[in-house]
Amino acid sequence: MKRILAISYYTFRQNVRNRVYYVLFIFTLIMVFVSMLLSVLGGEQPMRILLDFGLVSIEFFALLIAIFTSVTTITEEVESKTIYLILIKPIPRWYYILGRYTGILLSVWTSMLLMYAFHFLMLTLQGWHPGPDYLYAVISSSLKIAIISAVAIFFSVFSTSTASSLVFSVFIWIAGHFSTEINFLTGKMEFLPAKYSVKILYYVIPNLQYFNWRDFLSTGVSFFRWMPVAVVYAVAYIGVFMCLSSVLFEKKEV
Amino acid sequence: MKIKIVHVLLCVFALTVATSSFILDGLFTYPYSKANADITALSGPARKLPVEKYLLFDITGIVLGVRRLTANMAWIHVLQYYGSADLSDSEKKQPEETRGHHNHKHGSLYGAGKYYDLLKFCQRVVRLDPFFHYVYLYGSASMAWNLERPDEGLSLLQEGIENYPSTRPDYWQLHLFKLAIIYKKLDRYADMVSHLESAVQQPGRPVMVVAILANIYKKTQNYERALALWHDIYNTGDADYREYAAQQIQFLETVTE
Amino acid sequence: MTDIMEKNSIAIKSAIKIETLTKIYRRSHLGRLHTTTGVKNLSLEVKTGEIFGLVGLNGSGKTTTIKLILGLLFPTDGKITVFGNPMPDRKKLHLIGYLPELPYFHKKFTGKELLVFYSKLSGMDRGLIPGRIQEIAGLLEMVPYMDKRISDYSKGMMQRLAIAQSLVHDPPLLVFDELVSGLDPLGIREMRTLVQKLKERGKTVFFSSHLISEVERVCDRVGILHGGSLVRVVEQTDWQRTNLEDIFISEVKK
Repeated sequence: MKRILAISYYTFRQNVRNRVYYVLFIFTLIMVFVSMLLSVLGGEQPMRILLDFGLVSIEFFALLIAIFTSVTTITEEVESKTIYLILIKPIPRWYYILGRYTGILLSVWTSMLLMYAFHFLMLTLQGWHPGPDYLYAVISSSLKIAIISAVAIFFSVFSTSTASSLVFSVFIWIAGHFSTEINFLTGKMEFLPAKYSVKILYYVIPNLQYFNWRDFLSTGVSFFRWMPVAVVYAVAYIGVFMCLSSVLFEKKEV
Repeated sequence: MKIKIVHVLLCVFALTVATSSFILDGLFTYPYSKANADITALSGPARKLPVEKYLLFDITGIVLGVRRLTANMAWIHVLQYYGSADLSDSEKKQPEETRGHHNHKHGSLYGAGKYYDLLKFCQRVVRLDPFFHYVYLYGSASMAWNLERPDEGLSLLQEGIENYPSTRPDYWQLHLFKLAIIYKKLDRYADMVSHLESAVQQPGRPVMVVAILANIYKKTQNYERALALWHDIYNTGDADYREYAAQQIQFLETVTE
Repeated sequence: MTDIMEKNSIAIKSAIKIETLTKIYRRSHLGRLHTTTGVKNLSLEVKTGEIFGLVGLNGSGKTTTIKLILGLLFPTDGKITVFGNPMPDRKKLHLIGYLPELPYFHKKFTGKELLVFYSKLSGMDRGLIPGRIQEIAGLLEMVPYMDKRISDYSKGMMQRLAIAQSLVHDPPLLVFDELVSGLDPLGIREMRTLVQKLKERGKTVFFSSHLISEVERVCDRVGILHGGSLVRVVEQTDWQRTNLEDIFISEVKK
């Protein structure tokens, strides 16, 4: 356990110093830009727009950091050979996978937290009254990011090219949001083999709509209706991908 | 092949995913499913999108899970179309008489023209996000009083009355606006004004509605009430209305003195 | 009974024992399978306490052999034991210290941070780590550099840090891939004394190089690899009569 934590902390340090700061900087710029744009446009409902722009861009930037670091982490380490120095230590290989994953997640979550704090501050300064909805949006976005990072780690072990793992991960992200529509489609299909294969696809791809709370803010649905089960779902889903990655990585030659 | 702990774990996790998926299928309903039937229905007599030009944009937004943001962009588009400062500037340069059909006295800030697409653009917003309460009020009031097309305003309100959750505390405002517009159509000014009066008392009311009411009072020579409303508008600090409100206040103060 | 004891003592006498080792790389490209032979039918024994050099041209299979010993690659055929333990076995990796060819470290860390990290991964007792790092830094004369970032390190310092990393958990067997490549004459000389010191402390050193003159100076025995096969093992007495370079050239040109 301590050794997994050591890898996790090492990954965290590596990422935080490298990429995260740039992204945070760009996020801040965008938020300031959007709020300036809004004051020029003089739009009605500026708070809503600022809220949504913030929540979406935080998630988007977190997605960028998560996917890029997850996908490049193994290939980059193989190329620079730093991975050898970890793999020749007397540790099981799945320590590496789990350590990397938790380290990446930790750095992405930290950057998200910073962005949320900035965003929250900006909204309150403009006289917005926060409700629990904001917290729910933060929680669900973080889970979404946790899932997609696990998927991206899996692809990076599975595939030899960074580009293809990147494309696969982005595909899963999009398909994950589209899953409601996929399910809807299966209801309309009459050709059974197609119906069942699409249905299987629906269950294999993570349903990210469960964690899309920031899109349901004013819809009046209850967060607690499905979220406790969705958390179990997320953890198990991540577990599946960690196990798959470990099994594959066990046999990987570097 | 040896069975290892990881294989057992994998099975446990996979089973948990499957079980929770089934449970979630029952617990989770996509909140926009009803609105989706209007937009993405793939079979059956689908209602066409109000603005087909942006269909791809809107669908992309929905698919990427950024529906509210897409609705916001559609809303900004409405505001640009209907209320850009540039247009109102050019309007000010025109001589009073040529404004003709466009009844400046009712309005606040919007460009010259008939804005035939306003209903469609507003419908686009509320079909992306049927919970965007403000759009129903703003859009219907603009169409009914500023553009003198109360029927269009009513049809937008009707969508709100159908799709907006009736359990919400601000639901009745839609009915209030509807009644006010109906009274306007029937030329029952006193009833219309009393409904608008209760509308402007609500916390979420568009400032524009206050301006509309103030202008109605001015027209019916109830200068004192009009002045009070313009003060109210001025005090909201809304930058768009501030200058215009100041002009009105100045004018009304000279009249009331 | 005596038979088993004898077997054990033989096994312990040999630090590394490689028997009929074959590694064939398989890569499929556009559906076509390409195979390259890394090493074929290689048998080799390194005795405990000796300095064994592996020489060969570029691509002769030196790095492949080392990676197979460490379990970074998996053999197609044959077997490897390290101090009598069949490899690959991750639990026994604490017996080996490894220096990769052209080592690289993440630039954002200090030397000390990295050594602490690698020590933790080796499963060292937390309390012992600082003292051990101090000792290794003294041995490698890199004390003033310990708190500097890797980005300020020269190539020689990087190499030292990589060696420090291989020694920190005090393994009985050291595997150095291209120990002296890229070092200046002074650095080469220091490495030579280091290897001698390690031998005095009873360590087994197995290293690869393509610099014959270096190998000649420090090794007890030398194996010549060519085209993935071990073509000859040369004893120190053999090259004291003639010279190693001539032996090497004649073997390679056969």
